[in-house]
Amino acid sequence: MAKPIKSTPTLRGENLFSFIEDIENKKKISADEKKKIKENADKLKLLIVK
Amino acid sequence: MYSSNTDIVFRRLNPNDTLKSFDCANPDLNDFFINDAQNYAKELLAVTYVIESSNDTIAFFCVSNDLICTDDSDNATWRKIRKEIPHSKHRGDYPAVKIGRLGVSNKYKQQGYGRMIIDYVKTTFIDNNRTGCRFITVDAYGEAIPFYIKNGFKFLLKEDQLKKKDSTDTYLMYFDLSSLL
Repeated sequence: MAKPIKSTPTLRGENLFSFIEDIENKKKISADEKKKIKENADKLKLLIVK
Repeated sequence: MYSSNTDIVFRRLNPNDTLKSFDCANPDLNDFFINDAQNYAKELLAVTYVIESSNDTIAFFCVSNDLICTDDSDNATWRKIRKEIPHSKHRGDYPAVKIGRLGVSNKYKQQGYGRMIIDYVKTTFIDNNRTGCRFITVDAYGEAIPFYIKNGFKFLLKEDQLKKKDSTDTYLMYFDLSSLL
């Protein structure tokens, strides 16, 4: 059996502080990067079989 | 590089499907795909999606619902947060989707499939999700850490960030979907 997928732990202490700090100061992704992300996702959507 | 080949399909893996050959060089990831992915689906624990050619599995990934919880009773840390980040708005928990496992076959590495999967998950959980989802979490193998960092993921735990990375161990990371809005 493969290694089980780890559960996400409750954040406390330094991990909690870093997480809140990060989400409060997150950088917005540029329009160019968003366009690339959408183009990549669309490539995969084209391959979908129902 | 990836090309729009009509023989290639992207689909959900069902519990009784016959698997096409797959080898990503990570024995644990191979083992998960061959022996566990369909059991996770049977038990409603994770859904696996595959990209397949007519002969083999190009890549797979599995996703499940997740939650990032913050400890309300950690008063000392919340005091520090209120002092150092005074206008922070926060919740006790944040809905997330977890990429439990993601593997690309050796034969198809460096062709953009991994990035395509990550970008698909990012856009799906912003544009097409039926429930709220703020983060993507991932339980990443050591060898895949640079890939996730390149795609905007961060370590969830300081101890994971500081540890020497091992290809047989996994590390929790996250991506904030609101950075794409």
